[in-house]
Amino acid sequence: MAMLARALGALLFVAFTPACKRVAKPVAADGGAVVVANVTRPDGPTIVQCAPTGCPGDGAAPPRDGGELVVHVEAEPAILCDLVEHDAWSRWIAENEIMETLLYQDPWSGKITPRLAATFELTADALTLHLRAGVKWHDGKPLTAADVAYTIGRARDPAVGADQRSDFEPVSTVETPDAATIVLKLTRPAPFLKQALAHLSILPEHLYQGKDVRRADASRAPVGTGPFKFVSWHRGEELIMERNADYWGEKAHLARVRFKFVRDREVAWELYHRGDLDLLWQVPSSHFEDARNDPKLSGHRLLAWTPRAYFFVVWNTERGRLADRRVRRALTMLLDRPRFNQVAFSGHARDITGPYVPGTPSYDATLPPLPVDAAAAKKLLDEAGVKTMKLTFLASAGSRTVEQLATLMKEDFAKAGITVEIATVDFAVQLDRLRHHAFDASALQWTMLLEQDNFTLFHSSQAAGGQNYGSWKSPEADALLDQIRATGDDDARHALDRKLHRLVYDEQPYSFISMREVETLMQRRVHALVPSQDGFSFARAWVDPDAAAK
Amino acid sequence: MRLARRLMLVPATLVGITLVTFALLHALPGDAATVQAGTSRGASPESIAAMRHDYGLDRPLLRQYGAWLARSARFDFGVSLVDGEPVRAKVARALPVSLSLALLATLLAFGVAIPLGAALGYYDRRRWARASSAALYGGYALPAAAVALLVLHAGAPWGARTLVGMLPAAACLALAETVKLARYQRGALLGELAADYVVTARAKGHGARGVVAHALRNALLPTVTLLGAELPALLSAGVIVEQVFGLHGIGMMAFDAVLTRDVPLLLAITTVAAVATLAGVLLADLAYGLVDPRLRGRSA
Amino acid sequence: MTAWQRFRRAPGARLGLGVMLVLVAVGLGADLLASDLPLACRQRGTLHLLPCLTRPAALVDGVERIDGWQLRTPIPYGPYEQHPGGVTAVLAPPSRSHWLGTDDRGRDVAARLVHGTRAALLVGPFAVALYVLLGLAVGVAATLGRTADFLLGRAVEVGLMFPTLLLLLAIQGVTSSTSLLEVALAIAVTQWPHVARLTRAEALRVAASPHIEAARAVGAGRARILALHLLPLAATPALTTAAFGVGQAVLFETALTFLGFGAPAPTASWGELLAQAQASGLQPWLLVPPTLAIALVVLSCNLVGDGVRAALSSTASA
Repeated sequence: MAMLARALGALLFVAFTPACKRVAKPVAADGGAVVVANVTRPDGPTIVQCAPTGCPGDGAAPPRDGGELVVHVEAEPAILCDLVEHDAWSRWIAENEIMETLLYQDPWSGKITPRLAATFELTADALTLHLRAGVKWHDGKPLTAADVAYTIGRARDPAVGADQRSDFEPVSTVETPDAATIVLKLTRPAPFLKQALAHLSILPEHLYQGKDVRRADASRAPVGTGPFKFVSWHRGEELIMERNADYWGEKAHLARVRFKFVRDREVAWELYHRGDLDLLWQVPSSHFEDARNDPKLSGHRLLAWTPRAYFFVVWNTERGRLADRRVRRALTMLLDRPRFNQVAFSGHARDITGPYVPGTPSYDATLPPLPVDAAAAKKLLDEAGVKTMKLTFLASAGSRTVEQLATLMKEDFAKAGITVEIATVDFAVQLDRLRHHAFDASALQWTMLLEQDNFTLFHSSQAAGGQNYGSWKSPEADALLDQIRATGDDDARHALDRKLHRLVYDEQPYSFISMREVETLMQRRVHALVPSQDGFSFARAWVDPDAAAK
Repeated sequence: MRLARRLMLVPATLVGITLVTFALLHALPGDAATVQAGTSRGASPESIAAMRHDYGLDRPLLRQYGAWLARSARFDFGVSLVDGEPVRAKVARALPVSLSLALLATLLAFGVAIPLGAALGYYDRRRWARASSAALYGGYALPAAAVALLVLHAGAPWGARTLVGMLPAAACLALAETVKLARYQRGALLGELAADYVVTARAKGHGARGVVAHALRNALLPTVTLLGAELPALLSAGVIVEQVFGLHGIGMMAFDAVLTRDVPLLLAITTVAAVATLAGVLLADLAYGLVDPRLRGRSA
Repeated sequence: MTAWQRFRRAPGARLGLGVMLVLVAVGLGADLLASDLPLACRQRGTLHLLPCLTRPAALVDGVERIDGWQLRTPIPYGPYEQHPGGVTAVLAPPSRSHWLGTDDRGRDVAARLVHGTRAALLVGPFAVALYVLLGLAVGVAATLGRTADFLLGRAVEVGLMFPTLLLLLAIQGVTSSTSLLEVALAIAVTQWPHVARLTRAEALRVAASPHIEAARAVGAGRARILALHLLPLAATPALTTAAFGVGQAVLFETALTFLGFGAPAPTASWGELLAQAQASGLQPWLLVPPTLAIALVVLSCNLVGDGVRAALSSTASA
């Protein structure tokens, strides 16, 4: 179970951004109103079903200052520096709470607004940012353009391997004409640059200069500009941050946030019931029913929301029959995905058919999930000349979800004469084999950005040592992916995204399974806490000091 | 004299065990750089190669091990490959937790098992002894994680660092060991009671008390042998118990170090565990001498 | 008195042996006790005898196709069958259709328990036999002389310090397979030093005892003394270890499954059921049956162990 937490944490490879600036009424991307079921019952918690476009606030009394919030963290990050730590929790803890970004992206609408940069202009050949005046690091030193230039320099360094590196490829030079201005010179349109800047925490150059970002003390005890200051980190136990009284913006309500590392979900469930945790980030699926019907939880809030992450099976297209798209389509149709959602997530999951966030203009909503149809699948296999086949499924040790998927797959495929052997290996071995294409099939989970660039996942150039684990090589996809990167106009690019979605849907280099829904549970005293893929809005949350913990 | 010779051999044993650990760790596919690059969008062959170079993982294996040995001989265990924290600080933080847990568990296990086993052995013909002896297996068969979750659910403290707070965790850790030791003790005593000298002594009309005391002393031998070996085993067997009770000890740290391929950390933990094992073995050997004087010359 | 007579007279030994034989029978006959296919049936005019063992292609697609009469196994589910009749019943408590309920994938717990006996028999006795033999050999060999004792003593020390998980991963890496066999090997490689230490201590004690000296005085050969006089006595603690070993091996597999490194899915094992119990809020129907099964194994092994010890100890003192 420990490994599950760790692996899932690491798999959420981009888990960006900040908390909602204000708890505004969420607006769907298509402009329609959000339908929210807010059910209060005397015999259980208040259940808040979040829409794909956002969770509502709890509309409670005016916020009160002070108090401590205790948060459950399942996977302890190794360090708190999101250039090199790809764990979702490192971002949830630090980004826009302790550290800050130049720009801010709304986690639901995708709208980009200023943050550390007070203003910015994007022209055909440059992005110019003007820093907010009077922003100070937590150690008292002023924030300058040099810090920004340093951070961007690190993000562009191939040896660092930052998530945003490819988004900076159109940038030729970074100039700092004065202490508050940064100019990024562009050689071509850079459609993902603003989003990248909204997910790049600015590092204090004076603490990192001349040091390896992984080993610098500041990566273990971060110094930022955000509404919270880092206090202490006892590994394996807890991490504490406190309110920054000198914050340049709207100051946080909470006096302290204490993150408690509890790997085992059953243990966390127990501790939440004792009142030792204010926020249980994920109710274990075995307790979905208990959580909804427990009278002891009445008045608590249970937020059901869907992180921007999808679960999929990757097929190694270099392996014999799997090179044939008909075979891959047949395998998807054999796999009983609704049943898997039922078994693994108690049905709390959403369908997904392609590599974009459903509900955004990049996602082609007209494509239905491939049907579960063993007869049609057998016909496709016959066409491809496949009578029997043997597959080895590479499963990561400690992930129950993957184990469940593998078991169901084995049974479903057996009906069509396909034998599946399950090889359970630890995460390091799995990564090694994926990178070297030494597998037939494997399952992973990708986290998406609202403006998702799928170049690294599907471009043929990324098969050698990159993220194109299945070694899928399609000239059509390559052309589309190159074009997407060079298209600055949003509508034109989204049209290309939808084309790619359709191509991936037809070709099935992945079998798209589902997006799992997470149920976050919070105590009565907690208010204005809204989870999202990009964070938990600790800066806006508050606790009622009069209400007891339980 | 003998003790001095044994102590001189300690470094050789340590080199042996760390070399084996090092070799096994490198025989596994994937290294610290692969794990840290993970599924990152930005990780490229260059960034992985750069990391490998920074961590010294691209040097010949024997040179890597030699460098580690030279440094650790000066008690410099380097920094963790995962977070850059000095390994010594990490181990120093986890060791007290694990040591107290293991010591508590050992005391509990032996404290309960020796009298219990002796009683079950001595009263072997009684019905209640037979019944409780059988009932013990139920306790043995319960998996540690389930017991731990039940104990936690019953209200045991979580993440407690005090000795009293660690008692429930130690009890979970000691449960299976207690049952096993009690069985050893019982078996050994039964064996002794059936031995010629006891039978003879009894036939000659010697008092039961004296004979049993003598038999008990002989029967302690195999149990004491275990003392030395069980302590370090408990030190690392605690992964699950540590995890459930929120005690960040050596067991969990070693588990993570294997999965993240954190070579310096795992080597340091292996060294510490090995020293603990050697100390335990030594203590047990000395204890033989006390229990059975005939063996004093043979503790090799 | 023959050894068998002494064995029989040891209390509970016969009961233990009986239970053990029943477990072996359950393991061997698992397919006759729990299967998705019937013991016998008639389908489209053909009579199938024991299709649950032969698994004819005509029937494997499912029992729904059987149009004639059929005689089902006592537990009418196989260990892997997830939705008999297309009904999903995940984590269902015991009911009439599922005596011991279903697991997190809707599989019948009773069927998995019965088939898990095989895994237990594979991991337990195999690993235990391996390490007890190795440990006994090393332990007794230590009495041969100072040099042997010294060298073997070091080997035992290094063996005692082995990190089990690392070893298991290394074995899995080298064989590039993750079956129960690797788990058994990892258990054997990490457990033999314990047996060796116990045996050595006991062997040294016995070697110094009067009756070995007597044997030596009579002029018995070294090998003869070792095999006939030393081994039976020195083996007592090792036998107790072995008696617990089977249960311990199953629990070890449970711990590995809990951490994610046990037998690969969908192997039915008691450890897997227990790991499921832990991960799903300690549902009693998942927790109790495998616990009782393991207790039964440990109990029977211990009773048999007592019997064997009784048989051996009298041999030596006779």
